[in-house]
Amino acid sequence: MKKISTLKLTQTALVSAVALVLSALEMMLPDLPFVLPGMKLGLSNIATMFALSAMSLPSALVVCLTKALFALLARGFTAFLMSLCGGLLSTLAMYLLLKIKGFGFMGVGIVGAFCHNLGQILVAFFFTDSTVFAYFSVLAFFSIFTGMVTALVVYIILPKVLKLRLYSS
Amino acid sequence: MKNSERKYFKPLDIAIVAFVLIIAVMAFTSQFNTKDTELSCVVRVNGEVEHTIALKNLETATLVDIDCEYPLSVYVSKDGVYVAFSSCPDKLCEHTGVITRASQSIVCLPAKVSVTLESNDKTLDAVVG
Repeated sequence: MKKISTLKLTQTALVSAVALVLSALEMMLPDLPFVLPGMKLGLSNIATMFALSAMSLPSALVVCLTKALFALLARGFTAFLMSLCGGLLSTLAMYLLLKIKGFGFMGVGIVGAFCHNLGQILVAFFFTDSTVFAYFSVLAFFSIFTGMVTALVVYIILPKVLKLRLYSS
Repeated sequence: MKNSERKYFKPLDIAIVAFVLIIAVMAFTSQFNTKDTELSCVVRVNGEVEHTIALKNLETATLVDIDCEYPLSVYVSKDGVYVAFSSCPDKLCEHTGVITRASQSIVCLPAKVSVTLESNDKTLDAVVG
């Protein structure tokens, strides 16, 4: 097995902790009044996107898994599956997009938010039936805005955090 | 390319926005391709149909109790359907409110229940081509 450096381990743990705080913060926020029940900003996507941009794919996947385990403890098994499925799908999609030079952070963020919704809807479909796809149109539409917000946050904090030399890019 | 040098916006991002918008619009319009006549309320538990109630023949509103992992009650009247009470932890089904048109639905994920208004009228509006 490949050895994991202490630096990498600490970095991943730190970003995972930030992801958990963001998830917990989001659970405390009330449902947005003008959209569907259950819709969220996806603040913890900031952490996965940061892990992908500043660190590596394995680190981002660990962040996803930690988030999903938190959902399991806080909200039960269905929430665990939805968080895991959405997280993995969005992380892999963002990873592929970050390999391409032509896309800015905005595009990457939107695809991440969109794929997160897609993964969750697929899990919901597995548990119920095709009626959940009625939700999907509104979720997809709002993923444009939530994706823009998360990408903007990553865009602003990334150079500042890298300047601290805690993260080797 | 280093990610710290990546710009926030690049022209190709517009393609992504357009792609997501097209999918959203397609999913949205696919909900409204049925007529609003002859609705029936279909309750599914674990994806299997448990109750089917035709709304047109309904004289008085009824409460339908659904026996599942988190028991819930659905209020069914000829003007609309909503989840009156649910014992599930997140209450998203209660917060969804009243559904009145064909293809609208209420989903309770913890209880694995979906309540859908389905159109009995399967005839087409028009055929072109």
